[in-house]
Amino acid sequence: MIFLIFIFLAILGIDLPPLIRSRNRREIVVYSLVYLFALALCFLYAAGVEIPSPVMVLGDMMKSVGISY
Amino acid sequence: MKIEKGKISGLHLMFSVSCFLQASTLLTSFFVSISKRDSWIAVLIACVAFLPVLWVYLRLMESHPGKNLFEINDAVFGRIAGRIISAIYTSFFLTLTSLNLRDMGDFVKQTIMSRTPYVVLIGICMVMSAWDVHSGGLRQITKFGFAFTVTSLFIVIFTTVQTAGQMDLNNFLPMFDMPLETYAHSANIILTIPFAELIVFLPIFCNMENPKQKLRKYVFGGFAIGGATLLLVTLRDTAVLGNTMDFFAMPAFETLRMVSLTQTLSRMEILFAFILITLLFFKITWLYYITVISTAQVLNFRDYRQLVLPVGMIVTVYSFILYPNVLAHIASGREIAPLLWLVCEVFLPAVTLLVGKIKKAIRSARPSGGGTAAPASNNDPSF
Amino acid sequence: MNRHLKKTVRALVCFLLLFGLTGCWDSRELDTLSIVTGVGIDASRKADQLELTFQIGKTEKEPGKEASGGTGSAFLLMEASDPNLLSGMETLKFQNSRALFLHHNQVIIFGKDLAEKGIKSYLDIFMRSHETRMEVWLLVADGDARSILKTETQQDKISAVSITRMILNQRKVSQQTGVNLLNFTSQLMDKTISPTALMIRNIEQDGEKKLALCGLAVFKDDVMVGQLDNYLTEGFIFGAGDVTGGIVNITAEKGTASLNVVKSQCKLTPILSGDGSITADMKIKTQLDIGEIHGFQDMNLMQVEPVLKDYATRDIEMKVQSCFAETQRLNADIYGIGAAVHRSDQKEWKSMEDIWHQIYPKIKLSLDVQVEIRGTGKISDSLTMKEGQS
Repeated sequence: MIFLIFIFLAILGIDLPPLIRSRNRREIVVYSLVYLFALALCFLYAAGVEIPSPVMVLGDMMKSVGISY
Repeated sequence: MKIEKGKISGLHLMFSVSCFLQASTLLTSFFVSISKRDSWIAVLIACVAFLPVLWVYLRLMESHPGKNLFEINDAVFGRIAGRIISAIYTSFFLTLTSLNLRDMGDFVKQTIMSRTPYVVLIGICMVMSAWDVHSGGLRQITKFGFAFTVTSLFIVIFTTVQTAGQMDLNNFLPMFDMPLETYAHSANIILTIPFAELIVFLPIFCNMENPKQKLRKYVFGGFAIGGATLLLVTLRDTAVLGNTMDFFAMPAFETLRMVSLTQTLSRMEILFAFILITLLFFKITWLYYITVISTAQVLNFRDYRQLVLPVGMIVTVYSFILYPNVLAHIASGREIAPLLWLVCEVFLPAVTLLVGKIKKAIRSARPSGGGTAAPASNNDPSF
Repeated sequence: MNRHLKKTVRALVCFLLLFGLTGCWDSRELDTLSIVTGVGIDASRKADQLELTFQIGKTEKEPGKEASGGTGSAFLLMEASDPNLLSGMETLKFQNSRALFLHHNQVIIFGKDLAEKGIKSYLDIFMRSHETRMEVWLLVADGDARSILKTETQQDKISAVSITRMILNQRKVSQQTGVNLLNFTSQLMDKTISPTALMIRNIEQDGEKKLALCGLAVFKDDVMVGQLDNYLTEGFIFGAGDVTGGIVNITAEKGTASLNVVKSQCKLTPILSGDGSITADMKIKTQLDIGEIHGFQDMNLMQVEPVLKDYATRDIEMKVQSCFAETQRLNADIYGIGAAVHRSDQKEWKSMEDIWHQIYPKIKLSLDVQVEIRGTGKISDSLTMKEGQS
């Protein structure tokens, strides 16, 4: 957990200065969205929350319709 | 708008393609467990069946010269639909990256480092990949394609010669005695999992140094080398392992274990494991790179390097949540993946090509413009 | 400043990555391992239990014992008694200061009692575990496996290595004799082939115990049903494939001789006749060298050679026929005739596969042995023969 926090802070440190320097608001917003998504996923996983896997969900959908070997 | 400005030579492209295909020779258990001793026939069928797919990819590139996959999507489907389709591709590339990362973690953990946790193995690989992608870009990643391809070919030929004493050609007989659907199923798996993953090269096909160079011969060359390696590995494994081949989770590795130079210089499969890990690393780095530039393109980012690290975290976490256990992975690989991957790998490019052609035909039938359906950005010179 | 920082960070990352590449999470020092060289599995007197014996090679030399001339053996035995192999290995953890390391295992020996009950389920762990290999040699002990692993051998310090070398010598003569786990599993998976495995036993010579390979064990599926002694084993290898060694002994009226087998090739073709019967057509071509001649006074080599040829042919024919008859008695297709039928005629095989055990004893053997005496060594006529001539 603590390790994760450390990693995400490091990522912020590496990526944020060039972004701020470019002064492109749109890019900063998009980047934050991706960053927060990654953050949320990682912390949810580390906390033990079961995240459904898209491949399994699609697979179940396909099986229920009958398209599978 | 182009994300990747670097250019690579045709030879680099060829060896990257072959390296990519050779990395899949370890994971032959998906189709070997179905077609058993006739697996080599399934490989040949898949090679032939892949040629039209390859043709679709190449035609797609050639009919929109100088554009990468996402620009083509925008041009053909319009801005919104194009973005959605590019997003589908992006999620597909993301899944592929995580899958391969997981495979590598599994391979290293089960055979060599059994007590190291997955996180450490995957983390180290990701750090190296991220560095590769961040600092170097296209040229960096493709630089080593030649060395890896040659080493891998050498190892395959060397082990084939070394295990020749343990081969029994009777293991191939009887041939063609399985129901036809086995061959179809197996060829389908080979088509989608090693071969049609070449779609990940579509975003950068236009980055060749000399645009006049024939894209076709390099791609075919790479496919020929990679396909030949896969065929040779399948033949070798069938000859050595015979009917026990479908027992093992990694038949190629079991064959490598049987290699012994002398009584003392035996049990050295760790040396071959090196090149397998290296090949897998190449594949993962490539897929990671493609995922990053896809994401950048979809989100309209100017410099993909900012996105490398967050996408890396998503890929890492995704590789953990993909499948709950090994059995689900194998079941999915055998039953779901061949059909699901086909949507992205074959269906979408074919539809894109078709719709593009229809649009061209419509436009050329109305020479004086006024076509309300004409897409916005199909004429910008993107260099 | 920024560039300096970048360089430092890069150097730091490189340094940290090195730790991952050495695999030190998984490091195992040599002195924390018990290197298993042989595994023995016996049936226990208690029902459902197995007696497991692990022969562990010692890695360090004990000082002082060298001088006293080999009183310290180079291996030790660890024993456990358990229904399963894996839990047996686990219980050893409580008695052992080191972890069992199976990568260098050379042999797996099954006791005869256990082989007669069935060994398929015990092979599972050897196939499943990542630490074990498919190249280990499989043997059946004529008796119990523990006494085999306990025997000390003189020339190779660790008896499992000695057994491996004996097996390799046998395989130089014929590849059909020694089986490793891969061959055995492959034969088990085929429904009609009967697997074989070498048998080994203890013999006493001058009060010392020695190991000797003593024929083949014949399995039906995974249950041992019979044994081929050395004579029948010779018959088997002539009929099963190529032979590049061995001796053919003949006894004629005027003398005896031992002939070296230079090379023998056998072609086995199953012929299906219209009425549903099968003939196994064996064509054996053997090249022999004269190794040793006794007797044959008054004859020269030109006269002796056809006699030798004739007797050798008869000898080989008898061996092959005896072995074939024995396998038919045991109803065990060790030659792989069923597999040969499958390869050549798939349609017919479909009807025969399930009733192969009824068909096999009725197969007729059509044997054709051709012997050629190729060389005579450094001399042609022997001393006895020369005496008679002059």
